[in-house]
Amino acid sequence: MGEVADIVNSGVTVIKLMANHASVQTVQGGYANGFPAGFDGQGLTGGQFKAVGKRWKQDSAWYDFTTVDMDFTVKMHWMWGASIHGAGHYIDHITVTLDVDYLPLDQTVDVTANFPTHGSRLGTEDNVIAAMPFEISVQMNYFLGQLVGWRRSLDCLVQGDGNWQMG
Amino acid sequence: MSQPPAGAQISEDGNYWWDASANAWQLIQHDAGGATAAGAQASNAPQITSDHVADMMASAEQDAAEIA
Repeated sequence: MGEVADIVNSGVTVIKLMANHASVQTVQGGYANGFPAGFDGQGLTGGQFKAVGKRWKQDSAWYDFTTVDMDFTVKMHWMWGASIHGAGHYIDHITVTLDVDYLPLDQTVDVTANFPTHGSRLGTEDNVIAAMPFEISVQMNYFLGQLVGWRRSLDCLVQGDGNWQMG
Repeated sequence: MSQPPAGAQISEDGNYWWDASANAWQLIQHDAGGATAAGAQASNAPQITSDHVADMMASAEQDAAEIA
């Protein structure tokens, strides 16, 4: 592989998930990636998968009517350490999932991940490490006698060397 | 106008619910007091504010961690 000018995402830029007490729906799915510009994925070798999750879990006492029980986890998954012609640490199959163990009837969760079209190039010219920053927003809607909403944005980063950020 | 079924997704402004069968947003019917039917069902529930929910979610949030 010659000089790597840019790391680009030729996959999806938006993933949308919705959940209620009964199910999780993928409204808009797919995968993002972090390849050198102009690379079509042919010849990518190696790599291993990793998943990182952030959980919201609340167990309240039976007499506590002001706390709502919930248990759900937002996960980011990606393949890291993939190389092209034996060089570099690239990333592929970046996606976001939502696992729900418990939501009450009157609560819904919406998760949206927004990926950029360009990532970052770390490492050296001879040993490029691809990195892809993205944002996950988690939105809750409740009917607790009235509609109440809550929203949290997570700044996320996955890298070709397996490092990550989610917070 | 109609009433949202339990668990329906509600718009951010609280005026619409998502009807998956019709693939469309439906206007929520509000009564004179401004409460929805779903709200009326839970009228005995304590009034919880967005600040309360934010505190609750903050306490429920765990640190991100790798999953084996």
